[in-house]
Amino acid sequence: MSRHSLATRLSYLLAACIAGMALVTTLVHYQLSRRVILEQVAADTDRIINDTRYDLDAQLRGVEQATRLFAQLLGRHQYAPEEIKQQLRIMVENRTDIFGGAVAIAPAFTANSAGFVPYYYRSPAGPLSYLDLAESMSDFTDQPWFKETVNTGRPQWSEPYFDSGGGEILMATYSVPLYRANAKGCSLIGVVTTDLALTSLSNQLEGLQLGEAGFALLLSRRGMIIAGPANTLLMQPLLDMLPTGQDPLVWQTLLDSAASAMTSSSPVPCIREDGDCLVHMTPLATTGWPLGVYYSETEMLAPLRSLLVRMALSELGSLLLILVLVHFLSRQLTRPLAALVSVTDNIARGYLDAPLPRTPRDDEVGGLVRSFAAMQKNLREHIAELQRETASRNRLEGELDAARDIQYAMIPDAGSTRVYREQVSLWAELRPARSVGGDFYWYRLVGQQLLIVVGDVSDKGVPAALFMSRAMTLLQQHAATASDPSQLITPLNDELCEGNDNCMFVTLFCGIIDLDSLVLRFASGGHTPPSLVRGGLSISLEQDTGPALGLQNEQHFPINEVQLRAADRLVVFTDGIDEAFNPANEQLGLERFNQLLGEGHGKVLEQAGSEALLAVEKHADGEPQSDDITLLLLDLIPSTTDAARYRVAGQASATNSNEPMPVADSTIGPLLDWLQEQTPGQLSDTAQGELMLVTEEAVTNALKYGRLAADSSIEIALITFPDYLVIQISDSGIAFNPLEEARSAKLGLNTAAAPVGGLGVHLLKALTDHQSYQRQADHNILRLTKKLL
Amino acid sequence: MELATHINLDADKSLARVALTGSLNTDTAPGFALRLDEAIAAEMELTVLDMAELDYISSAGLRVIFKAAKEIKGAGRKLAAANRKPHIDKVFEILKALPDIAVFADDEEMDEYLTAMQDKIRGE
Repeated sequence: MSRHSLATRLSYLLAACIAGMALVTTLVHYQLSRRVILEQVAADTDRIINDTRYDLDAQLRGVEQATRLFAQLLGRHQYAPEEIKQQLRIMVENRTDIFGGAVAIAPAFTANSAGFVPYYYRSPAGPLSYLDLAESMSDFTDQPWFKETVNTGRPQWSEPYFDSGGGEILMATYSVPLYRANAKGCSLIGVVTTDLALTSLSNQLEGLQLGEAGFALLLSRRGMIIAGPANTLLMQPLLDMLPTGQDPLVWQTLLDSAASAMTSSSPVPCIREDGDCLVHMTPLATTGWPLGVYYSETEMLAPLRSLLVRMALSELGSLLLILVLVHFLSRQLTRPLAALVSVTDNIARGYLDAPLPRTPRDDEVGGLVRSFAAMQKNLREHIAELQRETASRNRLEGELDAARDIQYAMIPDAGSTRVYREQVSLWAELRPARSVGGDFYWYRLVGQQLLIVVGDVSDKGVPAALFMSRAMTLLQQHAATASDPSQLITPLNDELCEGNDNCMFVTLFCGIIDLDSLVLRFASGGHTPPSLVRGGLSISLEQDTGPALGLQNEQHFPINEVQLRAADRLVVFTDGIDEAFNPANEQLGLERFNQLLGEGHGKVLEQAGSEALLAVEKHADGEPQSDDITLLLLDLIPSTTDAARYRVAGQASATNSNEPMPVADSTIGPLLDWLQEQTPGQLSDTAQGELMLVTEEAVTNALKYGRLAADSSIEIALITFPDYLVIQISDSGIAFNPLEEARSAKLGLNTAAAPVGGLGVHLLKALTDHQSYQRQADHNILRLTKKLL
Repeated sequence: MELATHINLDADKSLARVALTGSLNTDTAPGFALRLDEAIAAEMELTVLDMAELDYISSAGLRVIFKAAKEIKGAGRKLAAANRKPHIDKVFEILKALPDIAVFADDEEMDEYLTAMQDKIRGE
């Protein structure tokens, strides 16, 4: 499954959400638990401390009470020394919590001048040992326990001390003043002391539950360690014994608080372990000894931590389980989608029959699959429909192409006429708006009579084309006999009217030019007037016109007569030209078209015609051609009888060999000299040189390949027009069109490969503006036109 | 419409300089062919057609030059053209004639070429 699939995304998203929620819950849980636990720990510690203090105080009070009772007992009776000794022994024996006891009678109240101090203590062996301290001490009345007690008159605890020479243990002594009642009242006669072995206290401390790191500490009022975690430190000052890292000031403050009978606590750095540690300190009620408890908060929280880890692990497990489940479920949900994606790819590649995934589900995915199925079906039908339509359109287009070919076959030169005669040049072009159209033209030269017909059937497309075919057929039928335009147009109209229920009609120009007299006689059936270009100016000829053909029979078509001159250009066209629309919906118009024709004056026929059509196209500016266009240009060529002429004698060839004839000496030189003399003054030297060059090429070509008869000659005529020249070269040699048939060398080859001949034709085409060839009356006539500018 | 051909042989430079004056057309081409053959016969390393005074050339004249070019090149020597007038140049261009022969616009260019060629010969 892809990294980007829905299932994967869904799994990741859910996992992230759940993990986040679990994390937050755990953290909150931890914080709450931590607070509760810490509070609990603090309370527990307080309880432990209070209990311990209570136990210690109880033990100490027991000793105090026993001592005070014993002192009262001794004070009420006048005991003899032996009795005192006896009572002391009983007391020590009974009080197991007491290590030893002594009664010190001041010397003033005893027979013995040194005083009397019986002392019983528990020896390690078991039975009590006895000692008279009056004997073993130099002066017991100077001892602090005696002196201070006597002076204050109040019971007091001594500082803990190490009993060397006696029990060899750490102990503290409780001293109570001994009063005896007498006549004068009560007099202080001595001190009763009991010794408490501190081991019993430290045993109690050791039993405390303070965790691994925690411990309890009992100190003397002077800050000596009485009981603690290490016996080696006993009777050492706590502040000197602090482990490194502990701040003595903190501990001093704790001790000071205890000295002021206050309980206090403070966080301290942990001694051995990491984390947070705490010290509680409180003084004992009896002795004022500070009792301290040290413990690690971190250790107390350790169970919570491990709980947390277990929770996290179990949550992680759940998370993984959920991930797997979600992944599985979303895959189940999106499986049809994935299948749909691959089907869509196939459809996009054109396999419209790709099977869709089956899904019986009723959810959105199921809906999508069903929509896809419908789309696939529609697409298939649509494409099939499209294919049928395309096939039928192709067939129709094929038929229309065939129809156009047939139609064009009726029009001379397939609608693109280029005819060059001695007296007349004709250029015509037909461009249908659709593949078949309704325009047509026709021409025929019989003797000196040139017949020109240009027609335009109403409407366009297939119906127009069919009507046009009919018109063309009838036209050709009548043209064979007609010697006057009216003899052609009148019967044509009558016959087109027959059976023309659709009321199709055709406008027609029908003219005949007599090439001898240059008189144009023409009849018009509602056709656009022709234009006459003369001396740089183009005008529309005035005409009397009859009706369009095909609508009503027996109509009169008036004849218009125009005297043409040599070098005139007659332009006949259909309204597809002057009514050509541009995007702004403006027609080209006759005026503008005449202007264009005027500008084309002086240009050779073909160029003028192409440029006029181009100008119409430019006017349309991309607008589709709305109507068929027919343009016919006719130039009357001035008679060559007025032209400058030069003759080059033919050279008889002895054999019929195909080898080129050598050109006789001094043939070309004089020709070129003549040409130089004849060319008008306005011709530039360069143009003159080029004219000479093409003439030489054309003439030598005829001489070399024409196989001319000995008595024949090549005639070179130079015809000068206002702005162009025509060189006409006629010879009676074998039929040969140098423009197409001449050996034309491949150009641009390196010296080794370059042909030595076949270059002349390239020069002819490159150095003149127009070339035409025709074979007429057994003569090759080559016409080369060169513009003067 | 005559053509004068002047040949100058410089054995030191191994140079045949053929200067054309006038019109090289169908009439004058055969005569020029003979003169050019003379120059080729001298077997100079470089034959230069100096066209400074040539006013007219037709394909007949070009054919003579083509033949000569083939002959000279075939013999492993060189043909060059110099000082072509613009309209003569145009004829060469229309026919894309002899694209591989050296063409000098003036005498200076030709001298540079000669010096380079001499250096090359001496270097060999």
